[in-house]
Amino acid sequence: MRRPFHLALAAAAASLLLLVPGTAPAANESAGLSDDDLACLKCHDRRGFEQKLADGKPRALYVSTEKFAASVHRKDGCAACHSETEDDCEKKKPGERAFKTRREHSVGLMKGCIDCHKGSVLAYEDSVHAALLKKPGDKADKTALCSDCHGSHTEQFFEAAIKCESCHKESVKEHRDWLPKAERHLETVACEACHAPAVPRRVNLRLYVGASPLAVRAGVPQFQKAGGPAGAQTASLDSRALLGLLKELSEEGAAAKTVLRGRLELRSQEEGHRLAEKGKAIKDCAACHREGAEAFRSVMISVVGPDGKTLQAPADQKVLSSLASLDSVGGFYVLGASRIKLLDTLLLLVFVGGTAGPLTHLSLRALARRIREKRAARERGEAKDG
Amino acid sequence: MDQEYVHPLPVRLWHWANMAFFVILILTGLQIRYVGSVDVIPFRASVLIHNGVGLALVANYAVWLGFYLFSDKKKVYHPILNPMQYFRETFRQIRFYTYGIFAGEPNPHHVSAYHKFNPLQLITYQVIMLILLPLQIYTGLLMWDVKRFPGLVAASGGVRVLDTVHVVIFIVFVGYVLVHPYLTTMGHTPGAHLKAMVTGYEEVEDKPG
Repeated sequence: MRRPFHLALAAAAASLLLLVPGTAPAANESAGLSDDDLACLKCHDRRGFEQKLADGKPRALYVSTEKFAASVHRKDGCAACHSETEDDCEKKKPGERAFKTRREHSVGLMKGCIDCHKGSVLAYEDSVHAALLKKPGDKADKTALCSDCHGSHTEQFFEAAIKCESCHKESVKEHRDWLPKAERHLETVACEACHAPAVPRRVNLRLYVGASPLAVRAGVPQFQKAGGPAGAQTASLDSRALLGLLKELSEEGAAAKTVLRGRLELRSQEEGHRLAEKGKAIKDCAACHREGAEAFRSVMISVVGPDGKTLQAPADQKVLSSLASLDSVGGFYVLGASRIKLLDTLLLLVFVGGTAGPLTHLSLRALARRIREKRAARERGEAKDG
Repeated sequence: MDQEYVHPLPVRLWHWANMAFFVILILTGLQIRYVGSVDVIPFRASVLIHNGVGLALVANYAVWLGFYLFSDKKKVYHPILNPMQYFRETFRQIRFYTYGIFAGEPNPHHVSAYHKFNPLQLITYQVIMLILLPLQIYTGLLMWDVKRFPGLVAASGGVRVLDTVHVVIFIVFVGYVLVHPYLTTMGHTPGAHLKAMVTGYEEVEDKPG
C-alpha cells in the first residue's frame, strides 16, 4: 500500500477546521475518523464537489463524512485505498493524472481491494465479470467492478452490496419466462445461489421483528447457550432450542413477535463473487426441490450484531423438516426439499390402509357370497332329498 | 326395479370433472413433493399443471356450490337434526358394511332424489365439500401466489403452515380416492352406482302399490 499525502499538514488543517464553525463536520458525524481523514473530508464533504477528467466528463468527488464514519471502511481511512497526495488533488491537471476516465480510475483502485479482501477478489477474478473485463469492447466497459456493487465510502456490513437488478434490469422478466413464481424465487434465493453453481449453499434463517431485521445491541447469549457461535464446532440449534430462542427473544420487551425469514444463499460470502456465465447457472428445479438437496444440509440462524456484523449460530438441518418447526420456521418452506417427514409416514399409512381396506372387504364379500351360495345349494339339496 | 332420477346433469358433469381434477392434482402433487425420488413429469411442468388444474377445480367447485345453493336439491346435504335418528341410522349403516353385506342383507338406506346419501355418506360429504375442499382451495390459492396474498399468508401462520394443512387434506383425499371407487360397488350390482352417475338414474326397489 502506498503512503498517503502530507500527514502533518493534513492534521493541522483538520485541527484548524474543527475550530471554524460551519465548516467542520459535526462531532457525532465524524466520530472515529482520524485527523488525516478529516483533512480529506474538509474538501470532499461538499455536495457537488467534482473534477473534470481527461475525457471531458466530470467525476464526482463528494464523500459524506457521516456515511463514511458509519461505514466499515472508516477504520481503514482514506489512505488505505487512495494514494493521491494533496498536490495530486489540487494541482494536477486532468491530462497529468494516471487515469483518463472514471472507469480507469475505478479499475485502478480495484487492485487495492485484494489487500483486505483477498478471498473475494480471487473469487471475482474467476468470475464472468472479471472475464468480461479482460475482453476488449463494450462489455468490458460495462462489467461490474468492486465499486459498482460496493459503496466504498458508505459500505456497511448488513445488506452491503447493491442488488444485481440495478444493472441486470431485465432479470425479473428473463426469470419469469421460465421460472414459476419468479418474484418469489428472487426474493428468497440469493442470485449467487444459482449463478455461482460450484459454490456450496446454505439456508440462512434471519431473525426479524415484524418487517425489520432484528438488530441486537449486545451479543445474543441464547446463541451461545443453545448453539454456540458460527464456526465453533458445538452442537447446533435443534427445533426445540430454536422455538425456545424465538420465544425468549419475543419476550424481551419486543414490540412485535420475533420471527425467522429464510433465504437460500452461499455458505461463503466471499465465494459469492465467483459468478459464472449465465448458461452455467443452476436451472434444474430438482437441484433445490428434491429431498436431501445440498443447499439444505447447512442451516444458519443469523441476527444483526451490535457493530452491524451478522452474528450466526448453526442449526440442525432437521429444523427444516420437523413438525416442531411449524411455527418457528413458518415463513420458510421449499416444496419437496423441506417437507415435513411425519406427513410422508401418514401418507404411506393412508395409502396402505386405503388399498388394503377395500381389498380385504372385497375378499371377505366374495368369501361370504361363496359360503352363502354353498349353504343355499346344500339347503336346496337337503330339501330335494327330504 | 324402479328408476329414480337422483343425479341431475350439473352434478354429474361436476362429479366427473372433479374426479379428473382430483386424480391429476394428486399425481402432480406427488411429483412435486417427491421430486428426485419420483421423476415421471418434470418438476416445472408438474407445478404448472397443478396450478392450472387447481384453478379449474376452483371453478368447478363454484359450479357445484351454485347448483346446490340455487336448487331445492340442497336438501340432500341437510343434516339429520334428530340425534337419536342420526345415531340409529349411522349404526344401522355401519352394521351393514361390517356384517349385513356379508350376510347378504339388503342395504338399509333407500335412495331418493332428496335423500341421496346414507348417514355415513352425508357426514363424509358435508366434511369434504363444506370444510376440507374449501380449506384446500384456500391454502392452494395462497400458495399458488404467495406474493399476491402476503397478509393472508402471514395471518394463516406462514407458508409452512399452509403447506402442512394442504398436504394433510391431500392425504385425506388420497384415502378418499382409494376408498370411494370401492364403495360404489356396494349397490345391488357392482356397477349400479357407477351407471347411475352416468345416466342420472338410480335403480331402486319397487315402490309399494
